Amino acid sequence: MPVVKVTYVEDNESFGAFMMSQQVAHPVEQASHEVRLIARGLTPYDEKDQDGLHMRDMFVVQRDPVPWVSVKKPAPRVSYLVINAHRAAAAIEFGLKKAAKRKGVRMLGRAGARVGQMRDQAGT
Amino acid sequence: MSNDYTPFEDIHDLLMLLLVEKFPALEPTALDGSDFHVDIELPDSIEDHSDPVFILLDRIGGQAEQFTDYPVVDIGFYAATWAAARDWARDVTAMLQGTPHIIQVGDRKIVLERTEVPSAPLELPWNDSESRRFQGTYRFSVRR
Repeated sequence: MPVVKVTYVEDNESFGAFMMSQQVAHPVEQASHEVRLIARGLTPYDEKDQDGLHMRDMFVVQRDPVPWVSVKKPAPRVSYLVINAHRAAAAIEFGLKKAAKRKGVRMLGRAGARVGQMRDQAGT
Repeated sequence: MSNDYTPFEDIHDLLMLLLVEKFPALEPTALDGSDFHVDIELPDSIEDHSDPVFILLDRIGGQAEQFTDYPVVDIGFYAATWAAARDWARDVTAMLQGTPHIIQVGDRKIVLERTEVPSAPLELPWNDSESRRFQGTYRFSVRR
């Protein structure tokens, strides 16, 4: 009776190329837009403020020019950044001693915790 | 027919119990408990509570499965000096990473199985104040 032996040889180079491909970039970009939309919804908004620079309109998604690299394995991965471009971003995100939101609203932190690996699945 | 589970313990309560157990310096020194050092809200005056440190706990998300809760928690460390805030952040992070932790809550024992640190503590601006702030983001696995 013939014996067929099957072995697996990992192809790191091929997998590395896959992790930098458009196939991976697409869902990562989708997830980052999801983070942007959730963060937008969590951002304080004052409709009476007419200066045209509402923070909720200032989130941008951009592909990270430097691919994300794990500390353990220097294998580059496609990564996208969700950026709050408002000048008061840090103050509203993390809070300041003299700001009304001293504790910080954490729009991006909360949005990030609901998407991807940290998705909030309670009740779904 | 459905099974009713015991609710997950609140991660803030678990962390408060664990922190006070591991770091006796965090126990309130005033008899009425007003001099607290770990809470989910900022006190009116951080300076009155930041000796040796004030620790702020804030769950910002995380999934909950049938048997395990995965809370994502921001932990802020407010102290009088940069070095003190950094040291507390470092010590508490190291303690939290030393899992598993078994936390006694009433007559129940809750297991904090795993701690991940997606964003390690770093200094965040906290202007016009003598106190300094470090903050990190942690992801825990807690059994029901």
